[in-house]
Amino acid sequence: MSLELVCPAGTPAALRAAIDAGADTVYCGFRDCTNARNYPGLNFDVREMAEGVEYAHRHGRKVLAAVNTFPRAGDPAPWHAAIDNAAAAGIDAVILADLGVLDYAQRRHPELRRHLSVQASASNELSIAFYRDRFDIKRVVLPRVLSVEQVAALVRRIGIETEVFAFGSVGPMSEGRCFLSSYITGLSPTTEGACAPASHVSYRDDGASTLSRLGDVTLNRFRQGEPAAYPTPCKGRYVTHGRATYLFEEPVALNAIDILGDLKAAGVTALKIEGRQRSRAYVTEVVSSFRKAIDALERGSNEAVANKLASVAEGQRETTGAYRKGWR
Amino acid sequence: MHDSHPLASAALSMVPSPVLARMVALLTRIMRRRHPHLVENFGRLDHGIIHIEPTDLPHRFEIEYGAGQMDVRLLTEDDPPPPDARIRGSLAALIALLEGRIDSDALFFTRDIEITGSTEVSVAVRNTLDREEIVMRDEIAALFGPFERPARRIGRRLDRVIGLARTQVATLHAKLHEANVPSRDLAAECDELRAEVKALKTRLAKMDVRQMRTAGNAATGAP
Repeated sequence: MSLELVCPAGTPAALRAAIDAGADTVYCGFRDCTNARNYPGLNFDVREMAEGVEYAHRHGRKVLAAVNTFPRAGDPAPWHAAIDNAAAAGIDAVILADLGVLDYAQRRHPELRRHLSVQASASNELSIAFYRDRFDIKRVVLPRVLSVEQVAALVRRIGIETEVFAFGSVGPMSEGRCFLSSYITGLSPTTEGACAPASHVSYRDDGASTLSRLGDVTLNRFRQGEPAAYPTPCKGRYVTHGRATYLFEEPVALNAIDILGDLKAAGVTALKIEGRQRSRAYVTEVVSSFRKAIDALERGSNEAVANKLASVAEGQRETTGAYRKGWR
Repeated sequence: MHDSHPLASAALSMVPSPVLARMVALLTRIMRRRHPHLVENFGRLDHGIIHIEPTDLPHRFEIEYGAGQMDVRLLTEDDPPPPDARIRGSLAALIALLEGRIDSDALFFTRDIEITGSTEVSVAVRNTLDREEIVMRDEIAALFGPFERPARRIGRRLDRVIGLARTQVATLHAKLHEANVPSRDLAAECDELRAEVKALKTRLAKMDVRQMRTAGNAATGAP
């Protein structure tokens, strides 16, 4: 079985671009707080979602809807509506994280396939088995904390499909539960769907360098020509012992294109490309590179697929992250 | 990173402001007609104003949107700084962004574009434009009304000539800089070197302590 290529789409144009570039499956979200990439001008309304599903199905591909934030206290209506609208649009599966949303989806739309979002942070057998047995999830998106060997061990034991991240931003491995962002902005990433809400991000040019700020906090300072990082608290440079360093995470992107054979051998079902907040140019570039690499792997070809993805990688740097745990 | 387009910036630089202002107004009307979803999506956003400043042009542009409308106009020298946000970059980078040919985050990471002011405004504009499949050559050809098709043909021929020139320049550039092509292993190599330097520093610190202790002992006569 070939590795399934699961690709991001923040807009209908990006969805078409992903499919045209060779995605097997595209995931997207509604234009509100119910998905973890809730940025202005991004995402799909109900009509666009149905049109996207129609386009994908016409090309024999699938669409998943991410409803993967956590409902606000006393206000579950947007999350219920998102599940109902996804089902009505003919979505192939929903990607969920919250227990209550999982419960609602299972009761109201038992026939709608459910995947467990990375936001649920289920990274061990006991946790995944709970979601599998209680909510009949068919696939788990594994957090970016596991080595290839650990992924293989999980695959052998959990009895459901696994999806792992293959390319994109690397967070400090708390997967959507960033308390620093909440502390700085007063907005919760888990309920609002943005770890650095655009409304709180600003840039200031002081002549020699550019300062990125989240709320009242300066996160970083970039000299002319120095690669920039996302304006998130985890990618901030903080001064300790008189030196400014990346304490949590450096501006670097995960890229597993060179270890696809290892991931396939580990029994992984699907590869996820991160980046619904990125442009359709990014989608086209990353998806077509991974399509070539997967096809080469299937042919048993030894020819290396030229990796040209550094230009779209954060900080122009790449890592295999936890898959190899090279820092140990 | 992105194609340079010296002909376009040189040509636009020579157009007098009043003529360019009328062209911008006409182009906006045409884009409203050809891309109704673009207007609809801009209209759904909260009100915002952003200035677009090509660094290789003597002109600046303004996009105002929200509350059901979208408008683009040429700015004059007397116009005040943007109330909300500003994006600066080469004309080629800005057109590539508009057409969705290049990733804005990549341009931001490499600092090829500069964003100042409200990120909410610049992100909203970027995302809204990225929803549409815009090809500037076709939009400009549409300015010619009944002569749109010949204009499009001329545009395509020009593109081919410019494309060929670009490829030749890019090949020459690549040859000149073959030694500088960054290796994929560079990051890993840096990590290894960093770890090695750290280990050596620790070793050196331990040796220093040991030496100081030995020197101290020698001074006091202790064993």
